[in-house]
Amino acid sequence: MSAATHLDERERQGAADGTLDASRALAVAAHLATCAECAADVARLRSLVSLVREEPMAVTTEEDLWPSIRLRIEAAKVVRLGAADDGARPARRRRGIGIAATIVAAALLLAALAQMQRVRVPPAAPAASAATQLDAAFASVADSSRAFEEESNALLNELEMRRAMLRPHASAALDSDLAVIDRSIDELKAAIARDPKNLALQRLLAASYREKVDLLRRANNAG
Amino acid sequence: MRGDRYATRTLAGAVLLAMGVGHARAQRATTAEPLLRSHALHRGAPVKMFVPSGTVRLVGWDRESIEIRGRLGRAAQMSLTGSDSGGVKLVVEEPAGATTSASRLDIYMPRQSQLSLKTVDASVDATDIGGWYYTVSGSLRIGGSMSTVEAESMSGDIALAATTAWARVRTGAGRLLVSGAPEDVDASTVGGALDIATSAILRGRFASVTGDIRYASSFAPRSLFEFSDHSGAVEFLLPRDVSARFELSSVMGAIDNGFMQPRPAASGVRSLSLTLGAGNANVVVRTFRGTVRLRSS
Repeated sequence: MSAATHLDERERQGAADGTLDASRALAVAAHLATCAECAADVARLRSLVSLVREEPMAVTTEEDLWPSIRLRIEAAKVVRLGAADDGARPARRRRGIGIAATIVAAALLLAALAQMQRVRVPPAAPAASAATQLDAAFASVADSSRAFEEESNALLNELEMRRAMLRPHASAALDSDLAVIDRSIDELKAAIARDPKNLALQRLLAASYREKVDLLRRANNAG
Repeated sequence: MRGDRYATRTLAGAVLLAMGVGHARAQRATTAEPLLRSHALHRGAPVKMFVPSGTVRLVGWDRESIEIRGRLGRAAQMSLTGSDSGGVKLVVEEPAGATTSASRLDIYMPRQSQLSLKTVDASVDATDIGGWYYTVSGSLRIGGSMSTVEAESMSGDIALAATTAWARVRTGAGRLLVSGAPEDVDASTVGGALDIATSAILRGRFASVTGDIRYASSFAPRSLFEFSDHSGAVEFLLPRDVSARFELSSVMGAIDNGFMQPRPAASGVRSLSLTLGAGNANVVVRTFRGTVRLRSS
């Protein structure tokens, strides 16, 4: 695997969601350190995976809930123990047990729902704030755009040197498709100039550059 | 479920009918065609082919050999070189300006061959052969079963109807149909329509610049999808019992929700989050000017 060959889709997806085995992960990490395009794509995939995992409606399993349940039970114990001298201990103890039982019941119910719905289980929520995550996603997508733009410029230069070898039909198809993609890029850049913090626009721009890179690679095979 | 099958069949039928002329021609070739060349070939060995024009039917078989049957165009010449373990290379050459549309080849090779096929404007129909397919303006139809497949064209039509773990499919102005049972799919067009008619996909990334994208099926449980289009429409024709969570957004286009009783999670002027059924799949859609439509089948 070299920077010239690039990671295949499964390696990119695996790097993004952390499902590669240890030996493969090392090789992939080494490649990512030297290949801006793969690194940008993996960053983009990570951002997609994190978006999915951040969904507020995701169902949590009993295992994921237990640490927080335990904390709350412990917290309840502290209150109960500290209040033992006031003579109200039995009633508070019953209330504490009731709270704990309710929480455990809720956890079991959610776990059962998760099993029934077979929803992918997200890992524990990251501590970073939503704003920080949004900034990270924005930076990641902007990096993707830049990487694709640089690669498209390099491919375009390479293609121009080989342009005479293209069959007329391929050359015409290339020009037509390039014009379509460049129009979309221009439109998106104008929209981003008006609304620079719009993540959706940045993602669409990255997608358009990706299409341009793919088109130029195909054109390089058409000679 | 019945609606789902109906929608899938309708879309697949319409697109296959439109793309089927070359395919039907290719299907007429039979093993009764004269044998042109044959060579021993181990399973898994690479096979490189350059067949500029005509029709090519590729069939994976369980023998350890490659066999080429059919007829060449009048001015065309063919060479088959290589070794059984190192792989073979098949080249069809045409004199400049020659018209060889009459070339018709049936090629049989081991199912596990790693194919690398390039054509200019040939119609290719392949079954049970994975690898890399490329055509400038011809058509590609890939079916059967293989581990991975990559199909690319500048302007030709591509129909993927295969069972495969991973597929990457690209065309420019051509039409692209994804059916069969692929698991991970990355498919895009520049201006051509992109149709998806399968519920087998576990991870899908579909994109176009100006072509319309249509998805007519249900979603596999726990599947992840990303759709992106600049100015083409992204349309979903879904069964009423669909189970998916949608994040739909369009910068300038409309979002048209044809489901009667969705459970919207959030909505803005041109964005909509909603859950249908249990929300078992995750679907993200982004367009700039294209309309996003949800329809029940």
